[in-house]
Amino acid sequence: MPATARPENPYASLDAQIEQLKKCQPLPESDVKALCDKARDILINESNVQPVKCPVTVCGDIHGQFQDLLELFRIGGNSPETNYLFMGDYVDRGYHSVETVSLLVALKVRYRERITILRGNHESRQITQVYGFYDECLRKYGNANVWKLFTDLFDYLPLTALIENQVFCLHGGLSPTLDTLDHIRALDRVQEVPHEGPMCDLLWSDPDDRCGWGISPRGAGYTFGQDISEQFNHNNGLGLIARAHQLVMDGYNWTHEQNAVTVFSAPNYCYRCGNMAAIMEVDEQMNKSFLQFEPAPRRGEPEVTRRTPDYFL
Amino acid sequence: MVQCKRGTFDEAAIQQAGGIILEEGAGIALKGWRIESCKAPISSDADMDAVKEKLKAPNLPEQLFGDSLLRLSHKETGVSLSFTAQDALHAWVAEDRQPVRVALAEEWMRSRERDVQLSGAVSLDYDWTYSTSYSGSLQQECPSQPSSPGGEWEWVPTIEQLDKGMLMARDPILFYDEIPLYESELDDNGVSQLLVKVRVMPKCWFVLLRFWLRVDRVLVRLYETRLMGSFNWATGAPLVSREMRHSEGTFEQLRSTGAPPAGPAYQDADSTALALQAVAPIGVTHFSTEILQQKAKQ
Repeated sequence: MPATARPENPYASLDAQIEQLKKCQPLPESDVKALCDKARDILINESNVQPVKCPVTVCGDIHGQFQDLLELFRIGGNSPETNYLFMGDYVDRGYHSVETVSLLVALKVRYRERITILRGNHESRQITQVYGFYDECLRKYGNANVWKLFTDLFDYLPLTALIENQVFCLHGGLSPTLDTLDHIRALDRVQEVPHEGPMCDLLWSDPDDRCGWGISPRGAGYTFGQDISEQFNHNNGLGLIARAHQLVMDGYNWTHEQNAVTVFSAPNYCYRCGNMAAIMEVDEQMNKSFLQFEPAPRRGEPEVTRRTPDYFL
Repeated sequence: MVQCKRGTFDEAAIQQAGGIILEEGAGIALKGWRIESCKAPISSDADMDAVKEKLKAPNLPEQLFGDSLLRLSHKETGVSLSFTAQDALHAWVAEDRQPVRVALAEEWMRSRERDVQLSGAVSLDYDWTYSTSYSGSLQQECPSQPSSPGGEWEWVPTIEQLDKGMLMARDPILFYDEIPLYESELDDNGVSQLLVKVRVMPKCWFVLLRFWLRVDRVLVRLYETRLMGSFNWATGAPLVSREMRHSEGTFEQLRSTGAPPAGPAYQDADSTALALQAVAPIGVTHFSTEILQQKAKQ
């Protein structure tokens, strides 16, 4: 029976919002506020290392590429029929950060057990002011209220997730301060992403070919070698670290002798890289397989690679 | 097989100027020049590894358009100018600059001192901004007239400026393309980009190669190479002229000279160029002009 025929359906308005968002139409500010309030009440009860059951499909960066998120659901299956785990970076860079993050938060509120959304380094007040989400909110709502509602909510997103005690998922990577999952569980995460410290590492660090810990030549941030990944997996009884954060041509990239994998789910990133996107399916037997996909055909978005000639000097 | 996206053509104007479009839209042939472009997707992980090894590079920009290319070849002299990511990064490795530090570096290091000691973390020291003063690659192919006198072609300094008048003329643009060679988001600390643009008119071609860097809250850098080939070569104009201009400044320096503060004024290479132009010659670290000349035969 269609949902509309049952007036007692407590989710009727939420379902309507999800349908609206799937058409790439932003919600009014009052709806965003109500949604963020509900989402906060759910997220506050989630752990820094949120347990997740298999089967589940693990996704990397989306970056406001809304049409490609819909394509991801076409390829991977709709929510809630497919369980999802997103590893952050929903906003910035692409044209539809508002719709992307609204839809994911709405799905979280509607199907809390079926979808897990982690925090990426772009889910932060400071970064979103430089890389697009703030400007997009101003453009679409005429003020920064919606940006404030979402960035306040971002403080509650869990930092990492753990699939069946075997696959450890997070946005960036490991931290020299955090040897065990219990160390991560003990962090006080409800705050803006700090500029330094272990919480910052989880959202920013990268695996590297070089062994041991490296300090980025930028003068801030860590890289970790294969030995570090192996040791972390061994100490915590894990089989794999799944992370996002870096663009990879095929959408996924094994590293550190299969101790870690990078998953990136924004195809043709920034509308010009020509890369594939991928998602990682983890089935009931904890087997992993990758589904790759290309950009969805789209309307109304500029083709950045084809410009009209101009008399540049 | 590399899938290339191609440039934009004005077919009628090309025909009128006596040129032809190359097969598969690879570029145009006009007045003794063959001008080709290709915009390819970013390189695969395997190709990245190969380039890294070949260049002995500590790292590579995550958006490396390794198969993208602009090439301009002059049949009669055998002169060929090309622009590729690999050659640009070769220059970057050779320049081996001291790394720029991000705004938070000091605070970060201070707060992590104990961690760093305990974990034995090693500071990686390389120029993560991929700054390159690469200004194109010059190759000498076999000239179509082997009996032509003189030796190889080389860049020699000149006091002559580019013929801006010819460039300002609103002649039709027969062929146009802009080709990103590499770009890095610097792990969300700004942007580093190498891009080459080309336009071909009935009287000349013009190329702008631009390396643009912004390290958020720290500095901007713009290294520009402009090249111009006149189709009047036979009547004494230089075959190719080149102008190189390097500008940079920290946001602090720029603000003290009256330039706009960090923010939208530096959101892309064009707006950065405007901001830097407004305060020039402050910030200009290099300016030179050269022409291609044939060495006297031994």
